[in-house]
Amino acid sequence: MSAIRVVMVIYMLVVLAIGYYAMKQTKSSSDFFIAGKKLGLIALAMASFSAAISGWVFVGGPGLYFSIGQGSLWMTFPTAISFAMAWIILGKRMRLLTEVNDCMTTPDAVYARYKSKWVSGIAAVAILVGLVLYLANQITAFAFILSPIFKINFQWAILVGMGIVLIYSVAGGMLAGVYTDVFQGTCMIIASIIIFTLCLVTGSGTQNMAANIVDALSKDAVGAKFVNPWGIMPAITTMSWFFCLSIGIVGQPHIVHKFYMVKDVRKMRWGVVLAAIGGMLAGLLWFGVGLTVKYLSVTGKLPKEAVELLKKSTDNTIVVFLNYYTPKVIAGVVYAGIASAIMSTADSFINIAAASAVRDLPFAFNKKLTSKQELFMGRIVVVVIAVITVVLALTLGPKGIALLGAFGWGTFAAALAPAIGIGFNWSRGTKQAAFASIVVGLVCNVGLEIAKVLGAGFYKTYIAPKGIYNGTLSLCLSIIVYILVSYMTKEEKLDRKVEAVLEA
Amino acid sequence: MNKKDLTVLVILISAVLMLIAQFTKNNMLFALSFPFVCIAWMWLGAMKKDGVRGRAKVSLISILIIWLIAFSSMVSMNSTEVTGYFLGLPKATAIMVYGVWVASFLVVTLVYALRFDKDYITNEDIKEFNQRTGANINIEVTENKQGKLNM
Repeated sequence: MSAIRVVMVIYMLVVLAIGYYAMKQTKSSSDFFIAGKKLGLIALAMASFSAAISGWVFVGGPGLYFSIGQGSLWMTFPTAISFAMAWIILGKRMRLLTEVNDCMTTPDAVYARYKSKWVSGIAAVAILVGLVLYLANQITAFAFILSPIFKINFQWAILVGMGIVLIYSVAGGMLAGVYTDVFQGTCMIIASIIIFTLCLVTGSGTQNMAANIVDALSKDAVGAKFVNPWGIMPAITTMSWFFCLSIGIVGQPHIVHKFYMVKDVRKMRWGVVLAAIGGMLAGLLWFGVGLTVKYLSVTGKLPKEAVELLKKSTDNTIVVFLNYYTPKVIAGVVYAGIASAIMSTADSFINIAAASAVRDLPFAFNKKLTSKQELFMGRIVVVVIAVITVVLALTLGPKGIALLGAFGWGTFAAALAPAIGIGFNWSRGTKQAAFASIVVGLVCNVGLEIAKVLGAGFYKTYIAPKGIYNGTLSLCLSIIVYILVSYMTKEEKLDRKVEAVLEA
Repeated sequence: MNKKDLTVLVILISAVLMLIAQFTKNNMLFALSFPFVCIAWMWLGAMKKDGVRGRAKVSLISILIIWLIAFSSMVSMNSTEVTGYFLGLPKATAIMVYGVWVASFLVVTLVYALRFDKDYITNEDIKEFNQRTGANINIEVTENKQGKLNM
């Protein structure tokens, strides 16, 4: 464990050094919120995929595979195409919009498109609420990793994790986040390649592992299902994951936001390929670790301590592989990679939430801060958000991860994807439609998750037995509402420049 | 009704079908409807005044066909047995990994990058955008930078 700690500490020091360097480069609110529109090809790709690949992929992913089998991969397979979806549907238009409009945040773009402070305000509220809760989810996952490595209790791990994220977020804003993403993205890619190779060696290939799992599980009802495409889940559930996690990317503020930062619209060209390759390699880690640990488990090859760890929580699947089947130094690099995944996503969230609080909400109430005030207030708000996050994480503890996760990807997809993804490609979309779809998407997804947690009767009768995934159901409703309300309300004349963006 | 309106109509109808599929737990209807929402949405994003251009059109239609075949095949196959292996994976899982995951990357993501300056944003598009908006995107500089990237 000492080698793992040394690698982790070196990693943290590098991240802090990068944060310090970025602080020296940050001179305006544009630098703080959109990295001064300075991003090149590698930085855009790394920043996008690091922000999208959260701790869930490395911690929750292998654990989910261990529990439900191959079907879990429908959550990570979208990365092969989802970045292309974001680039094709929004990338060019968001970047061109910054040429003709002083956009720094997603609600800025929403306002430019719909010319309604109500719509940009509700978008800011959705982003702020969702991001703070999602951030708590990330910090909790971070504590899950830090706690056993540094032998500190879970509460202290939350404080340490939040502290590290805070230092470089407050110091350097988005510029620090992007600089560290390049380093962190590289860590994640290296970790994924090494671990997948080790998995193949440990399990003597995927076919051997799959065949052994089928044999071992044939005694019970699971049998071959585990290694077939849907795993032990209903087909419609896993396809729903694939749908929401692919096209839902156009509603993710932490991805959309990256397009404002590109130095040149032409720089977007190869960024999508690099981001997708990074995401796919992370998917290989999910697949490899999940399959290998399951194989070792069903064939009785796991040490007793590992079996005990898995009994405590299947999220320990990655911990089992790293602690018992990986050389210590490599395990340290991988733990650093996992920490990097969590931290880069958390950093993106914290800065976007700050931007919503100091720019978008005051704007909705006809207030405007100067660039210096925004920079100062941005740093204050980051600290306030961090305090709220820590309180939430400490209150809910590890059990809160599922509840907080409910406000994650699916919520953003359902609330924002139609208003942004369709709205920036279809001039007939109206502000009333945007407002209605954001409200329906947000209320529906959050409401359904609460109903699920509380075990509401209608949820048990009409939703759960059908294998419906709340995010997909909410996104479908939000799409339908956006299109129908657009046709039911009066078509609006678009601003000449925004019209050019929509037609470019 | 123009081309964009028609594409949005496809998204609307497919989303309604997805909704029906979810409440009737109809796997096949879901497998045949959600690809239309995704691809029609990308089609909308790729569309110019003259429609979707060149290879982008081929790329998007190809992935739609691949997804329809792949997902309907996987839904049709018996998930309680493994009838054989293909490149280290059970046959149905091989469709998932090679037919959906890898093919999506090759047919859409890679083609987007390769055809970026021909199908998605050309110099003419930027010139026209500059003219319409008064923006000042430097075409010569970006061409040089792009040339370096292409090497």
